[in-house]
Amino acid sequence: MALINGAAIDAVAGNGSAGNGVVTRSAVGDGAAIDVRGVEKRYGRRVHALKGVDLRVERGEIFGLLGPNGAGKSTLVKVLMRVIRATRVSGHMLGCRIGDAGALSRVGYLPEHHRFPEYLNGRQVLDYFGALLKMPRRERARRAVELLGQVGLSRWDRMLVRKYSKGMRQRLGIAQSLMNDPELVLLDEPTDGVDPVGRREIRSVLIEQRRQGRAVLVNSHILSELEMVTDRVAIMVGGVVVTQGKIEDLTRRTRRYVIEVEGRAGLDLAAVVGRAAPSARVEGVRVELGDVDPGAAQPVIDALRAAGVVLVRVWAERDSLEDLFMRAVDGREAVGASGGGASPQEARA
Amino acid sequence: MITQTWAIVWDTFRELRSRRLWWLTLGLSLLVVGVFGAIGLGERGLTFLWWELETPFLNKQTVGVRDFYTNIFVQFGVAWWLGWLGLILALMSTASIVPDMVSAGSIELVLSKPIGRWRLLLTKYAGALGFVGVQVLVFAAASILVIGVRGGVWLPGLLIAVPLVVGVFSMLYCVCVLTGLLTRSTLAALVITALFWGFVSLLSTAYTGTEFFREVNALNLESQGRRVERLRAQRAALEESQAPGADGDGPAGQAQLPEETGERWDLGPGEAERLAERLREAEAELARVEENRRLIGRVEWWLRASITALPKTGRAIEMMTGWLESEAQVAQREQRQSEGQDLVGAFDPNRGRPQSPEEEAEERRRERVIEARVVSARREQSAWWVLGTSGAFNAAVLLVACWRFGRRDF
Repeated sequence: MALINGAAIDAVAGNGSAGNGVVTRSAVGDGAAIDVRGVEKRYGRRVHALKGVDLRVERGEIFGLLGPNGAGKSTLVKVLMRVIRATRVSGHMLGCRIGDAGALSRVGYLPEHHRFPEYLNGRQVLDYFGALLKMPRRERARRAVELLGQVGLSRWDRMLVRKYSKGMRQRLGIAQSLMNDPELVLLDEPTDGVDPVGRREIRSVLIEQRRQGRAVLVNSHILSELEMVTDRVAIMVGGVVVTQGKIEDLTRRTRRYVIEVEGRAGLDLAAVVGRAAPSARVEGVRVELGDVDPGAAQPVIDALRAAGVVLVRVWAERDSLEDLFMRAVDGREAVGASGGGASPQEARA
Repeated sequence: MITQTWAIVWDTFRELRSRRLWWLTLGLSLLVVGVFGAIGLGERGLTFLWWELETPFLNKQTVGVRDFYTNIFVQFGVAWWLGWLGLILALMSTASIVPDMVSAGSIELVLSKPIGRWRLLLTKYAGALGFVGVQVLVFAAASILVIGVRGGVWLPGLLIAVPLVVGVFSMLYCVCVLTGLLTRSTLAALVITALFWGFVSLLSTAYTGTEFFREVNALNLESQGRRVERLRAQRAALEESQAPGADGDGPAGQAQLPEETGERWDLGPGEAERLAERLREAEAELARVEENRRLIGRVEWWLRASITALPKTGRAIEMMTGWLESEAQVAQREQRQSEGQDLVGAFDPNRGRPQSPEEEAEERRRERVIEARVVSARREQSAWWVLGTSGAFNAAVLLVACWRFGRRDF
């Protein structure tokens, strides 16, 4: 499917001139929101921030982009938004080639550590950025009222931004990114500095975007939050995507049954379990079975009961996103630590 | 496109309006206009509010009210306030526009919108020029109003100051924009622009000095040439009178000198040698002055090439004041300058020596000739040369800024 879409996009975009954007969009309207391949960014000869990133974000999904500091997440998003020029990139965003201004009017973007003009109030900020998105005046006014209400800033819409708290600025940033009713929203650390209530509201906003069929790419360090809302994730380390897919799929092979028993003097738990399931792992009073089939757990349970062991709990578990993340980072750090994800400033330094 | 452009321009205005400097500049402008209004011309002399200072040389009988107010506006309002202090305040107000725009956290928000980078930068630039235009417009309009009410003369022509001052400002502001873009620092942008302005002014002053040197040297060359010619004629006459069979009509040993010298020269013992010695000295001096001419020519060429490539803020302001003043006023001012200014005398090797009244008169005539030549040479530098080359510099710097902004990663 991806190849078919990609081929269709390439063909149309390759034939179309810059002024033929409408044809390009309509032809690929059902394709992925983002489909990029081999994104590279070099700063001089020494710093290699992105080393051939492949990424695909579907419409109607929330996609989490994870990675440690300096992994290249923000650089990748900036390449998509034309803030940074890629050394090499192929692919499309909303059916337009990367770097094409035509796509930007249909994308919402919240950069990390964003700074709004401090001499404007909340409503003026939305109006200004709406105007840069070529929205008509009435539409801007209507949308500003609506979005300020959605992010809980209606009461402070006339207050100057310089008086806003960090959390309020973040909410305003979310509203700004949704101003043009975008088909794709890119959010870089959207919950940074936001209190738990605000985070919950932001999650609701993201889920609502997905419900409306929009694609959302979230770049965040807060893994537990991402786990709650994302459909798929990609983990970046050292300028490359080391793993990508649904959280369920990525953690499927870590699924296991765990049996917790009551401790008893003289009990050789390993010997009891080993006879029924040689591959089982015993840690104290925990028995872990690597098989995800409930049937495979039954002989172990029978053996334990036959030996007079009291079972306390039996449950199925899998790795969390954090475990997945840590494994990916530990596995890649040694090879991916050479300058991945440096910002232009860091690269210049 | 219009929506975006208007949004950026309006945002630039809001940004500047939110600063104290905007209001300070506006307040000072109105204060300057208030001072214009307070000063007047009475029957017996200058008036300030309700006081009258008796000035026999400056009253309604000696100067026309229109000329008086135009002169005040031009000499103080334009040359000092708009062309100097106002420009500094305007630069201070607008220097942060580009560094703020390209600061981390701000630039991503703007660049991620469907607007070209060149258009973004040029619109911001135009917005800043608009700010200065509004300030100058307020000043000029208030001046016209106050002068009209106070002096009874209406001078709508003063509005020409608006595009002219904006033009001069743009010559410096493009440097501020480029340095602000490269350094992302308001302070660095301001300091570098100030240094650049100082450098350009220094070059301009050096060029003006060279023009004076050139004319002084040209006069020296002329007079030294005449002296050599005279001495050569004397030598020829002497040789002729001493030649065997010469038919001298005077007493023995006395030669008739050429008519233009109007002198007779008694030939004593060794006078022929002294004449030859004076001729050699004069020829050596002529060669030195000739060498100076070549040296000054080379320096002048380099300076002219340099200032041709750079903006000419000083010349532009001079030109602006010239346009605002009437021809008669310009002539009067130049006359006063040539009488009062002793720039030529400062380079005269005979300066400080006791002079006879005839010599002083000659010296004054010489200075006036040099002044007239320099003024004439300046007038030959047309408005097109001053504004055209400055505009080319402006465009080149903006082009570099746009190119850099278009390629830079943020």
